[in-house]
Amino acid sequence: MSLVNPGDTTASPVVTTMTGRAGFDEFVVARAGSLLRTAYLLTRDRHLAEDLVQTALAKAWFARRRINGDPEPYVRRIMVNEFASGRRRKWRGERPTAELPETLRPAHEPHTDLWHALANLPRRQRAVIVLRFFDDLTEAETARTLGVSVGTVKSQTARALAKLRVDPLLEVN
Amino acid sequence: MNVTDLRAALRERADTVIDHDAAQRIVQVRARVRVARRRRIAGVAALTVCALAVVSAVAAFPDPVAGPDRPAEPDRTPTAEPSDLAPLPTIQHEGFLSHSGEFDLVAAKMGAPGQNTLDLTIPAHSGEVHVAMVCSGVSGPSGVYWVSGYAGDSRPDRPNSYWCGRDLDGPVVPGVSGSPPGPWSYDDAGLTFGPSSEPLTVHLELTQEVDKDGVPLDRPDAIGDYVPVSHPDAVLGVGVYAVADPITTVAGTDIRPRVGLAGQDYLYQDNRTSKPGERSLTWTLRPSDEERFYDFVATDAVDPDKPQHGVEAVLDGSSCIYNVGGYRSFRAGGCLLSPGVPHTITLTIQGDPLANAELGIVLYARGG
Repeated sequence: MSLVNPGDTTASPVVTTMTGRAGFDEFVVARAGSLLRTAYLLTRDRHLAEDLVQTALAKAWFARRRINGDPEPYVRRIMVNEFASGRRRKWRGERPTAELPETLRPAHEPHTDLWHALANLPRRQRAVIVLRFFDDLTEAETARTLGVSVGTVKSQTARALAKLRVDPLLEVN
Repeated sequence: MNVTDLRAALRERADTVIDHDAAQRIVQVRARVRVARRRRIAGVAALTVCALAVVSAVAAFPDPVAGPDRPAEPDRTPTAEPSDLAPLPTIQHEGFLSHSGEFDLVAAKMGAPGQNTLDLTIPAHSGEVHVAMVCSGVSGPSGVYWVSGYAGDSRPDRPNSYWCGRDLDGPVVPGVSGSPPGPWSYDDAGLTFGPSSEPLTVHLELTQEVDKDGVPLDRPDAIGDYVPVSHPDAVLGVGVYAVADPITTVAGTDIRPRVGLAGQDYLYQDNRTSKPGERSLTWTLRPSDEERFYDFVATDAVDPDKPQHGVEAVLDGSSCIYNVGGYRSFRAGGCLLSPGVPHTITLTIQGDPLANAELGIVLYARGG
């Protein structure tokens, strides 16, 4: 897997191992920011993203002796599967009531429609989209990360893209 | 939308994440590791006690069927998961109802007047918990002050927030509000968290919503930030409820085994759902001796560009609840159904339904 995360704006990191506490800390400092960005795209919530990253890092610590070489793919795999499993529930934001609120239109934010459309994807499809088109993993790497076959990645990608293409939010624009 | 646009959009969104907590993150991860290690040790100790007990029992009562040489079990290190935890006990508190439908109060705290922040920590828990927030004692136009809540060390700019009013009208009742025969309104204000193997600390603040220039907004707005403020009379309160596990899913929404209405529990009975993209759903119910209640779920039902549209629910020819706010997806309370007579419930999406639109009606009967 490429060490360069195409979504990163920071410099490409040096491969870090997690053989000891110092190595683990070094890895967290160097790469957790990148993982946080992926987690944010998965969860769509800054707090949940941080929670997801910390959960994955803590689990990776216990598995550090089994990790050979670059630990980032391993940590990302924990993180994505933790997300896809839905074990951690997201915060519920302000919820609808029987009253019509005064203001319904969201603030203009970049790619708001796509952002909301992504939320309509099932978790595994969203994970595939983020891994393929943000983390720039190949189909084989995505399959290894999610623990599924390449064929499943292909089909999930196709379904997710098809769903995004017909999403009314994106059709409008 | 093509793949190039998708890549650019994802990258641009990810660029909005600023990593402020890099140093703190190591501390937090180490804390999680310590907690997990303690739980693993506790799990091993518990397993050892069980194993000793089993060995003693086998020694006392040898299995006459077992063969002489069984292969050894692989060495497994047990880990404690939230599902292993015992349920938190229900408590009583004057400010919060201890039980209503799927909610059972497990922790609560009410602050003193002028105490503009409030923290509450609950132990590790095996199921979902709901955090109800309340704020009172503040005079003036409602909406100027809010109680905002979040968990952990990362405070969002727009934490989950709830109106701050003048007086508390009795204890807080989570979930559903209204009076017979309805319609009831689902009030999900507050925070919800899943199972956790670690204690959870919830932080509450008295806040005001301000615009980009820091000017307080006097109406709820989608773009303002909630900033901490102080008020000498404000009283904050927080109640944490254990939530019953879902019994089924209707139109993508978790349905709990019971709901609480006016002090009574109504137990889940049945549901009906529409096919994706259908505009309406009708369910005709035979007469029953039981007092029943229905609510409904609408998923991807309302075009967000047409907020004037909603979903109309008609019970026996009369509109029971109408237009629930122009939200794309929502759950709404219905009305009580009189015993002894048939009922017909019809949901209709106003305007053209979205392709994935789904409607669901959920039926409950009053528990004994």
